[in-house]
Amino acid sequence: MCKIAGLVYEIEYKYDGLKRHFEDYLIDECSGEKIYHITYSQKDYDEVGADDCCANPSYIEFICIMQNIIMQLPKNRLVMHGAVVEYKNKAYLFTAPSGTGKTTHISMWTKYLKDKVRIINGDKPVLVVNEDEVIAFGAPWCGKEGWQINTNAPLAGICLLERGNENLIKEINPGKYIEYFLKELYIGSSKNTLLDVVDIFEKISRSVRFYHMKCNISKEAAKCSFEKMTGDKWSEMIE
Amino acid sequence: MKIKEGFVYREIMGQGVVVPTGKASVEFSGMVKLNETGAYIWKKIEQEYSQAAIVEELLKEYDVSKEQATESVRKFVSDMTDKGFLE
Repeated sequence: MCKIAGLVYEIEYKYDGLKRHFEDYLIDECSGEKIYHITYSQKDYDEVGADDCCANPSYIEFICIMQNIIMQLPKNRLVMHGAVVEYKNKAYLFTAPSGTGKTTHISMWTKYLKDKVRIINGDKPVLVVNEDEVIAFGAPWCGKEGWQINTNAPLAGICLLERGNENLIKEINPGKYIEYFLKELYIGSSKNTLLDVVDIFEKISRSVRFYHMKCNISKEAAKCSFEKMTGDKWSEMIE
Repeated sequence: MKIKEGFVYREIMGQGVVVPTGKASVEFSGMVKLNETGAYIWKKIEQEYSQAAIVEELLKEYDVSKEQATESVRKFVSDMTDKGFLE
């Protein structure tokens, strides 16, 4: 059994390679909580395998399991494509289409801010959307760098990254950029209409600040997002 | 003039969007963001105001001429009808 973002899962798997992905999330027992049984079909396996012909069987199985966990997410939870970093017990999420440079950007935070920050998840954190706050949770699926920690922190900011020549960040009204954010959200299949996604996004927008950043790859880029999103001085953090 | 069944209005931090649901989502995929005037007119259509009545309301609410208000409503209604949101 394992526990991800506070929910208990029993996973049916075939390949031993799957276990290492979940090892930080294993639990021995649960105390009367609902157990989600996760399995996948041969059809799921074939579809994922067709997308990536070079992947090994246990990796394909891992993706199938992840997809089925996402499908069963209750309606106040979602997975957001992005990298989430923790600083002073608050989480900051950077989102963008694949290949924009989320990983590069947060690796600048860890390079210069060292142990003052840690990456909760490098690719697809789970967000639990409560009435007055959103909590970002680590999860086993985390991108090729393997950046994940089984922990959580309240989400303070979400930043949409875009490549640019210079570094420029501004706080934005999330409604004006809604189409960019919606593309990066994955919700469960029981509530999976566009209206459900809009409604959960609206709920997130009530307690989280949103930013848009154009950035290059530099120390200056990390300083720019750090200072705007946390309100702290970069120079006081760097030794 | 009324909103077709299945087209739902939502606001995210003041930004109005029209989202198709159910059968409407088969006819129209994606959603439409409305500007401030558009959102204002949409809400009046929801309340079953006629075009002439919406023009009157716009004149009360905004500092615009009758010609401008009439043109705004005409354009919005025509655009929304073309998209298939109104009938």
